[in-house]
Amino acid sequence: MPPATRRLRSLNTPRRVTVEAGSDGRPVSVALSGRRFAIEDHRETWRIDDEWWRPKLVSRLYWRVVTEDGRSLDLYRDLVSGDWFRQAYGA
Amino acid sequence: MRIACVHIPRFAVEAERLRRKDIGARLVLIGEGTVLDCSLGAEAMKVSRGMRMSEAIGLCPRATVLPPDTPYYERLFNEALDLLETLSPHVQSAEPGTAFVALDGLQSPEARVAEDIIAGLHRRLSLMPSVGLATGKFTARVAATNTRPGTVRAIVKGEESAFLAPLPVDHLPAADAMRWRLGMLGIGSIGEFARLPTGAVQAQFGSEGVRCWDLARGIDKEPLVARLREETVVRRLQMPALAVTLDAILIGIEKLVHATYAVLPGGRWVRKAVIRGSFDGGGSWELAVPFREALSDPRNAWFAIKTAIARHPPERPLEELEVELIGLSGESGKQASMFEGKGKLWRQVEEAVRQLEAQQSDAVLGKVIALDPSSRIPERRAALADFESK
Repeated sequence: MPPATRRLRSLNTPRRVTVEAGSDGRPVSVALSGRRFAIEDHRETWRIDDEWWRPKLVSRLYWRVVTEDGRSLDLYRDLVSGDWFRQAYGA
Repeated sequence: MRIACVHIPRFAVEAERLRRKDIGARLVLIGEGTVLDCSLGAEAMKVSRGMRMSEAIGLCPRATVLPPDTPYYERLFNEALDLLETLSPHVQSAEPGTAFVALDGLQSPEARVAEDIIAGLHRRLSLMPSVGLATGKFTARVAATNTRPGTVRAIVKGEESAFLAPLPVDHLPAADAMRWRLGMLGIGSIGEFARLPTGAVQAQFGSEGVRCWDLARGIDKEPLVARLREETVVRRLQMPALAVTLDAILIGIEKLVHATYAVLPGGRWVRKAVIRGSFDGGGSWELAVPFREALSDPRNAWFAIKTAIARHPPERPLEELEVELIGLSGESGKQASMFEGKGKLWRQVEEAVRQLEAQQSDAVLGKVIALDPSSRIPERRAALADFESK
């Protein structure tokens, strides 16, 4: 039986993570599941600025990094709030 | 089967030189992010196709860099193919600049046909091809690419492997990984590769290796697949003034779509439209619009075309427009959607959902819906909606 109300949930929403950044802003380590992992490689960085006409504009600096245990992660720093998030960006 | 391979070296560069006298004998690089084609002089300075453009400019900083105009190259090459079809009914297009022509059954001797090909392309289109004649497409292609433009290289039947033997293995249609491994094994020539035992080649390189091994020994069973000539209707419009705004371009194209449909033979339906435009100052724009189902009403076609143009508008003002209607058919058919209850797979999914809901009343099932797949913000691209079984 169909549900009474239709729900629409966002997919791939960013998850807040604790990141230690160097003086140049590059992430140095990231905490995942309560454990801190050093970042061994910074593969790429890119910035997106969008929806600047809205009260809550989007301004992010993404980093594709490789952690010490070989995981490839996409992290970004919200340039408005200064917080760090983890979010898969795409291929 | 005797085959002629017609090869026009550096086709994109030659095409640009035909319409742009100002580049003359200068070094030319064509491409945007990477090099699509380059002139001989640039090749001599170690530029190669596929190289990053920044690297290529570093190697020859005085070169003229041109953006690729693929629609123009394709149009010019189609003219070349049309000309080849006046000499043989079976012509296969490989890639822009290279074509295969079947020679069996022709009245003229093959050497004469080859000379006619060179003379015809030079006289009619100012292109200078080289021609390779052989039994099989691979040997013909290698012969054509190893002879100077304007000349013919004929390989007699039975002498293919002897001709190929001293040439580098780079000619073989092998993937980079196989080439690399051949290099590591110290196998540099086609002859060295052909002398390997077939079992070893099969074990090391699989089916790709066996195919290359056959080709290296002059065994080429790949048939020539003649190109299909589609019935098309084309109309062009020279804009009275340069169309700078999108509105002006849309008005021109709408008129053309109606005019092109008006000359369609009665009762014909159309499966695809191709819209082209010439930019002010050179270059062209092309947009292919396949219809979901064949359309006989120009108003429906215009709606689909307008929507497609809104997504991919021309980036510069246009001075000439063209509409080509392709895939003319006598009837239309609706394409059923797999996700609207008609597909077998979807029925199976729905049945599985019903079973799951019957077993677990609190089952949470969702369907991924694309919202804005090209959004730069990842969480805007897709959402999860409740699955509603019927």
